[in-house]
Amino acid sequence: MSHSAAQENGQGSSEDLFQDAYGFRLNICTAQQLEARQRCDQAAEQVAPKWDKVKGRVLGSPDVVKDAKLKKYCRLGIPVQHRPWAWPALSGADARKRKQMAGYFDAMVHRGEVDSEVAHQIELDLPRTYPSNRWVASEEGMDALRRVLVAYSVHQPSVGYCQGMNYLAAILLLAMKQDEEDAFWLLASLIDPGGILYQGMYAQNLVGAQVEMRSFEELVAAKLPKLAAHLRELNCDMTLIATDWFLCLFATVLPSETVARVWDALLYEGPKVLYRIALALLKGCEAQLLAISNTGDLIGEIKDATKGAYDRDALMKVAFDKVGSMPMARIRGFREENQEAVDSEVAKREARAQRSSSLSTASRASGTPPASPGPGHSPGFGTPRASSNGQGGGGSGFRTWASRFKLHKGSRGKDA
Amino acid sequence: MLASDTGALQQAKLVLLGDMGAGKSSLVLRFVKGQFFDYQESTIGAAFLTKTMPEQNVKFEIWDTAGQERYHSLAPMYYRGAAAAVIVFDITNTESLGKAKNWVKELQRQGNPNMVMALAGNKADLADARAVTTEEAQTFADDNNLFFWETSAKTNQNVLELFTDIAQKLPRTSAQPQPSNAGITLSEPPQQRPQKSGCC
Ligand SMILES: Nc1nc2c(ncn2[C@@H]2O[C@H](COP(=O)(O)OP(=O)(O)O)[C@@H](O)[C@H]2O)c(=O)[nH]1
Ligand SMILES: [Mg+2]
Repeated sequence: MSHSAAQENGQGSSEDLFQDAYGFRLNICTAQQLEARQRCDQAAEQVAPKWDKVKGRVLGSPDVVKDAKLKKYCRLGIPVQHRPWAWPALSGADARKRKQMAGYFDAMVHRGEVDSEVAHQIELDLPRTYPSNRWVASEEGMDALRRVLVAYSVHQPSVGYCQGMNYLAAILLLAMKQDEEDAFWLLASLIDPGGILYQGMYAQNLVGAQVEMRSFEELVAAKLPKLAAHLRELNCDMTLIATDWFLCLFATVLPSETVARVWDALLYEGPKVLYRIALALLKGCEAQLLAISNTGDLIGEIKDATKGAYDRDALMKVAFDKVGSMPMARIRGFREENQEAVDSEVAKREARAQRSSSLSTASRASGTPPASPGPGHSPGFGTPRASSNGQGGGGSGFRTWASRFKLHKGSRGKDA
Repeated sequence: MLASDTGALQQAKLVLLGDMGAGKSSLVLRFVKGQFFDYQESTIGAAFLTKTMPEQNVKFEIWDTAGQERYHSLAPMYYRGAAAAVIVFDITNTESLGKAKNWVKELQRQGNPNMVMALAGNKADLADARAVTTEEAQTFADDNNLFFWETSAKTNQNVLELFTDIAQKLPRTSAQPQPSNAGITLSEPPQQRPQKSGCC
């Protein structure tokens, strides 16, 4: 029962002036950025009535409504106040939720079968997720984030936890006004097999992300040939530039209001949007990049460009109107080709690693929790065994963590 | 062609590797900006920073990598052509030393053969929670030809010493900014004379 109502979304204090809609510090450096942000806010106000109108139609339908008009609206941006219903409805998260038994999220939170290494890694990252965002960094925020990430790792043990998912979950929580269940289902609708993102983005070796980055590299060669040649000359691989773009869906590089704007389209249309935004970002600073002859400086220039991307309308405009057509067949072709290449490289590397380190298998196996008593070292992923609480199931090396880390919603829960 | 020892800054690519949470980003931040935060954003992919040490005539181009196992396959991109590597472990966490050892092995096998390698036993301020003895780490370092420093990004213990040590051990070359492919050779038969030390 809540001491912290005032903290909701970080709003309600004199700090407001320096914070954006999601409680992040504004890092505005130029008058242009300030003006652009205000203009974008006003534009969002203007489309709000449209969203009042479509709400009934969208929520009334059991399946995701797909039409050109909604697509256009999503590209124009969903107003902050509409995202809590619009994202779950338009992404398929609601549909996924309905297919499961009621209370599925809570069940995942409380099942208590968290792989100990996964739990340990989540704990490490909780305080390192947007430490400058007041709510995310608060006890309450970290508890919510923990529940969403732990639930996801139990829901999808083959994915478990991958660094990067923490930022996705945090943005989702903020956009959903801290509704954990919605955040969870959105995460699932992005990452689950058959979900919005390309398969295997967060899998071992990040195979999916690597495929996406290579495909993107080919797109850059086609769409921005001068830049592509320049990058090649500098030996600047796309992974140096775009790893966090693809793994965090821009959540660590763009201002949060711009991130949410990108996700408005991403959640409705799919990952082609990521290519478009990435192309638009590079295109926006292409001239500067061509003049830089050092990889480090080039990366720095791109960082600055993304950090200052407060003009979300302009970014979307470039992404959707100025980078030309991008037929899905072509992208599929890139992906197939690169999937094969990445798979075979990974297989080779693994064979090599296996050969050279059959001795040192022990090292990654002991993600033991800090205070773990007794001999029950976690066997890690490779060696399944029954869990100590006798529940077995799902994966391997499960241990009851719910009691150690507060997975239970406190009295602050919204349904309290 | 030999002009550079005295003149232009030597650029040196340096990569940090090591277990998640060992303190790689914190060490870099301490070194580059003199700051420490109890909580710093976790690194996705890698972060890039530079730091010039004028006294050493070196400009470090630092790649701070992500530590989680599944990011491992991206690492070669960052250590490829690196002149130096700092392998970080957390002295309160035995497992992190195991991971450090694996990194050393991988670099020995696949890194630039002239790479200057240092082992950093970080979080030395947490003496009460120590799980790895100095001797154990030192022995491993000696056996593998690594410099070893016990550091603390928090208290600034030995951070400058670590990087200074690396800077001084870098092979001096005349070849300058090297966009590099695999196995770049920074020094052929290097004229090992400590040319820039004459003064003091
Ligand atoms: N006490 C102590 N904590 C440290 C030290 N270095 C890092 N940390 C903490 O350890 C955690 C992980 O550090 P970070 O630099 O993000 O690790 P990385 O994953 O290797 O980059 C953070 O909470 C840091 O504040 C240190 O020297 N002493
Ligand atoms: Mg880090």
